[in-house]
Amino acid sequence: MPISGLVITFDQTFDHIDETLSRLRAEPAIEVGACDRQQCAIVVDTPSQADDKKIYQWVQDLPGVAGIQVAFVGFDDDATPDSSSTTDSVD
Amino acid sequence: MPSPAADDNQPSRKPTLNRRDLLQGRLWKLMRPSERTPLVMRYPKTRADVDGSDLAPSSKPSSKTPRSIGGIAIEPVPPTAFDTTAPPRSFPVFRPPGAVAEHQFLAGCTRCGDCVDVCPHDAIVKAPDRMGAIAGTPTIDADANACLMCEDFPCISACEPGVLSRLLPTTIGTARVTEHLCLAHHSTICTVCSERCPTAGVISVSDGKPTIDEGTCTGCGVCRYVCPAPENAILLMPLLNRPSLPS
Amino acid sequence: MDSKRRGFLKSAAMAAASSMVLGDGEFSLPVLGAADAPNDGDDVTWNKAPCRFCGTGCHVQVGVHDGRVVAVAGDKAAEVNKGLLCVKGYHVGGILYGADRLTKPLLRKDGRLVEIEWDEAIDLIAKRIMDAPEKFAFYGSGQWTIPEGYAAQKLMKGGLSNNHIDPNARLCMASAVTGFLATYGVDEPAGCYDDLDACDVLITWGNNPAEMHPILFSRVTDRRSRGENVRIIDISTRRTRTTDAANDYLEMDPHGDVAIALGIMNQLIASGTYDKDFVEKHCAFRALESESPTLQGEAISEDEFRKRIAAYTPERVEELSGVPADKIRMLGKLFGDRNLRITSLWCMGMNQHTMGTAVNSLVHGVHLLSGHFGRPGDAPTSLTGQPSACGTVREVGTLAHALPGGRVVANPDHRGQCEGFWNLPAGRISPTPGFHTVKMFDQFTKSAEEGGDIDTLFVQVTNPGQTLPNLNKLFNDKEILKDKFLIVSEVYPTATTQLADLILPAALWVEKNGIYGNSERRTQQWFKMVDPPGEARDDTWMTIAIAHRLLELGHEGMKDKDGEFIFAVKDDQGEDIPIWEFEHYYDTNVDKHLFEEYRQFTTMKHKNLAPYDEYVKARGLRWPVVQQDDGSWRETRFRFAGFDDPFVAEGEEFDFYHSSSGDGRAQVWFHDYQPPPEVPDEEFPMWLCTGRVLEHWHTGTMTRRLPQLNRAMPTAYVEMNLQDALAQNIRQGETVVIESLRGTTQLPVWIDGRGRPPRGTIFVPFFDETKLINNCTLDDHDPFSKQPDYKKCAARVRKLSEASS
Ligand code: SF4
Ligand code: SF4
Ligand code: SF4
Repeated sequence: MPISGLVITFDQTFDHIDETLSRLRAEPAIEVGACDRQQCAIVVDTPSQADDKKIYQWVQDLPGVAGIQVAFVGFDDDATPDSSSTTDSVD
Repeated sequence: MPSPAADDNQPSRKPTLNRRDLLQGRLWKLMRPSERTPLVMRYPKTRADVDGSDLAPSSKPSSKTPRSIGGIAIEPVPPTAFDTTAPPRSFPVFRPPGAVAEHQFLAGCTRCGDCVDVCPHDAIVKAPDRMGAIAGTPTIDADANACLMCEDFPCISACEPGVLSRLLPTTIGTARVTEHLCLAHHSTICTVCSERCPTAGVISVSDGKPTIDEGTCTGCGVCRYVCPAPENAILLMPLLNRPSLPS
Repeated sequence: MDSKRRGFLKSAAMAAASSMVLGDGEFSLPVLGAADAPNDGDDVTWNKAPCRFCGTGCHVQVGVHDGRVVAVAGDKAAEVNKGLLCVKGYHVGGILYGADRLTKPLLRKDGRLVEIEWDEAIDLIAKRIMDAPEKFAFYGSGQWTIPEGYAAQKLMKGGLSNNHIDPNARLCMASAVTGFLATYGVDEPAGCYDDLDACDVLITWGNNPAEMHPILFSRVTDRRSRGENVRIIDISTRRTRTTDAANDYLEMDPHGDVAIALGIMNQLIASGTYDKDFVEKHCAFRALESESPTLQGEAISEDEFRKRIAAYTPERVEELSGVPADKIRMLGKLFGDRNLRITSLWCMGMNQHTMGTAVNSLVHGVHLLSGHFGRPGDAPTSLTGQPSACGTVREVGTLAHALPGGRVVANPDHRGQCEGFWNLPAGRISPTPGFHTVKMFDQFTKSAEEGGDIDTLFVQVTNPGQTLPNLNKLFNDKEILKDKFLIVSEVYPTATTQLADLILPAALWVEKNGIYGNSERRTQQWFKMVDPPGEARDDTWMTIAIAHRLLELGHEGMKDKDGEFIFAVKDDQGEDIPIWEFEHYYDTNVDKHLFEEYRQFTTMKHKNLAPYDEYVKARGLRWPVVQQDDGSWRETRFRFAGFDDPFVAEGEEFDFYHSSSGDGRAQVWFHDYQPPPEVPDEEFPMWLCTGRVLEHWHTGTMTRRLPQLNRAMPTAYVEMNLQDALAQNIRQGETVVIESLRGTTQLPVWIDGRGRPPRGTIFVPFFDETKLINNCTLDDHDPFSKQPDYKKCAARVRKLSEASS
């Protein structure tokens, strides 16, 4: 159950950012945060990593999107990454 | 703790994140204190409640009205169920100081319990049966009793097969302050961990807030044992890559 | 919990992404809001209550599930703490569930405690009182709720015509009261916590709010982290956590505070920077009579005042206080600057003081003389340590000499008014003040042959077996006196129940209805939320049940003028509700009845309270609370100041309307410095100071039952200076013996710990029932307030090996 915080960078020559934004807003897995003419913060909340990738791809392909940066990835999992990665951990 | 100079009224510092923070999910650093989720102290619910929900969710005991006089219950309040809360699925295991790499340790430890017996602070306990493969091996649970890092390490001296060894670092892990749980980061005062850490200089306090030097921290867990935050604000992790002994 | 965690992750993700977009950290963060923060599902109900511990009076939200407190969070709606709590506050719910709660009345028979029924217990107490009503005494507490204190007060003074009722607050804020009375003619602070948000300079006088009032202190330090400038000046006898945050640390010798205050006034006069206008319009000067001094003292002229204060030059003050003369000049300059806002805070350091009344009056005087008074941020503010020291003790007047609403037994008019409110026959209330705390216990622990004329003592909500000074003299002797009967209402076994003959199990905090009054005149109400364990019952009920049993036994005092029971509560049909039977106690809200009755007393001293139901709605209201034309109730933040106090006439800037000189003026006092009653000598070379720690509250009967707090602070200790320790070859952590002329106790040593005393001083906290430092403290007390000095006496430290040989 990944949750990622992404930053979208817009193509500065693109004129219809508002349209792209409304498409983002319409997507239920995406929450749109702070935006300006160049960048926009979104949070993607999906049930699986595969879905997460799909959404990522979808966003990338939206008109006017020049790039995406990952600001944060969180897993809604009880085990913290630290302890689950230890050889000493017991399940 | 250094006292600030007369005119040093520290202006608010902009929070910064480094890669390590990102990897470890320390995103709360970005939140201004006023926006932090408030701390909530939660107490275990009653034993009946815990049993009911854990073992037979459907047959949750009908909340039968307790015997009462004029609305005042005269039933004794059930004891707090500290021992019946479900154990987490996965948890880290701490070995006593000087332990060799885990595979060697598991192979070499005879489960004799000598280290358990000599520990003057009852910090070392045998892993219980439910821990499967490692049952019977010595572990340290700082929540119950922290290792006090005795100067002479009687546990190492007692270990006959030598899976605890003086040749190896006595560090057993490392601790971190989980800032969004720490009282000092919630506009109140707490200095317990820094006062009680047995290793000088590991926990530094600036502006009232503790920071642990992960390089010198021995992982003894005293700070975790004493932390009074509603949810323990010390994250303790075992040493991940313990060295093997040349055999 | 799952969705909560997801919520948190999402906000964190959004925070990270947004911060990258906006780049400057100025983003609005969709974190879990106040409303949904403590959201534990529908099966947990939340309700408000003030924290059970200190006088700060934070509000908590208490989550209840299935008749049990399951969660505690700070209350965002509360002005005092704005959603924050200190470490104790977060754990306050756990105090109800210690393993050894008392659940059954226990009577000592042949040295053993045996369970008895409530009826028998109440009967026993009533009969002991019937046998000798004048030898009965009631020892109460600043942790009494207002109705508990009021009921006890009415039983004693109105019912039994017996004034031997005193609270533990005598040990904690009596000198603050006398200081206020001497200065303003009426008790309690003029300012409030809002001053902390407005002050430019905060002076802590022998006070360690960082540990003792952490939420108030962080109100100030938080301003700094927002970029505001607040200068904190710590005047103390040792370095503390407050010093860590202070800009200036002025280390004084014990009793140095008196000299420092005199020194500041000296500087204000000498440099002419005192507020001439304010002094001329609103102040008068006063000093003690040379023969048989009284609390009111006598008026002196300004010239006389100038003459006397002239002796306290900075150099002289340096000699007396140990604080360098130029620091005294610095303080004088600060107070001389009217553009600054200066707030003074103090608590036990100035109250537990053989010159307590004097030093309290002097610090008020510094503020009055300099005009640093009555504007937000300009205030002399005394803090209390107990949650209702103000509400129950000072306002209800549960002191040996007092009556409700600022009245005193010695005044015939006041007695008459109380008899009127209580509908009692004239002359019921005795004009002679009863025994104050030290005297009360002195009389109780002396045999009848030696003149010990108290033989039955009822203790509610406090633990004198640990907190009285000089325990060997004032408490421990009880054990060998067979004719003395000690009744203790408690929630856990304590040092006091150890010697008790009858132990009554009490309901605690949200197991009963209650009302507290905090340090800033804020009256706070809460409702019962869970049932007490076993047969534990409300303290108010105990008092009423005893009164009713006395009535049945034929005690005339339990009837009013018309023959009605003094605690009678009627239903709509005019029938008595039998609230003395516990099964009917909650048939009505007894707290509300008592509060509404008590409210009538409060207007004389302009401490007006609103009706009970207003407090139900609010997170406390600061008195005077006065009804507005539109029917709403308005609280008062700044007393005596025209811009806020409704009792100051329109157009007036200030009016001290209870002035003891009767002309609307406050009194600026002069007191000569006097040395402490006991000073270190060759045999006992160290100053011993006692106090509290952050994690434990008072005697630890509650906080010691909380595993997290006990782990954080497991034992009392003695703070020592490294050089002193080295000189005696004492190591960190070593157990030593502390000895004074009066007793001894053993403690581990903490060098360079939380508090760092200078050479020649040691400090010991008193919370630990296994290490009773009050075996050593002094019972010398202030002549007016009768409050003992726990902060200084002579002691010595010895290694265990030396002491035993
Ligand atoms: S920081 Fe904690 S775990 Fe590390 S040495 Fe100090 S007390 Fe031990
Ligand atoms: S003990 Fe816990 S709450 Fe206190 S400062 Fe350390 S980490 Fe924070
Ligand atoms: S103990 Fe005092 S400061 Fe701490 S939460 Fe309770 S009222 Fe507030």
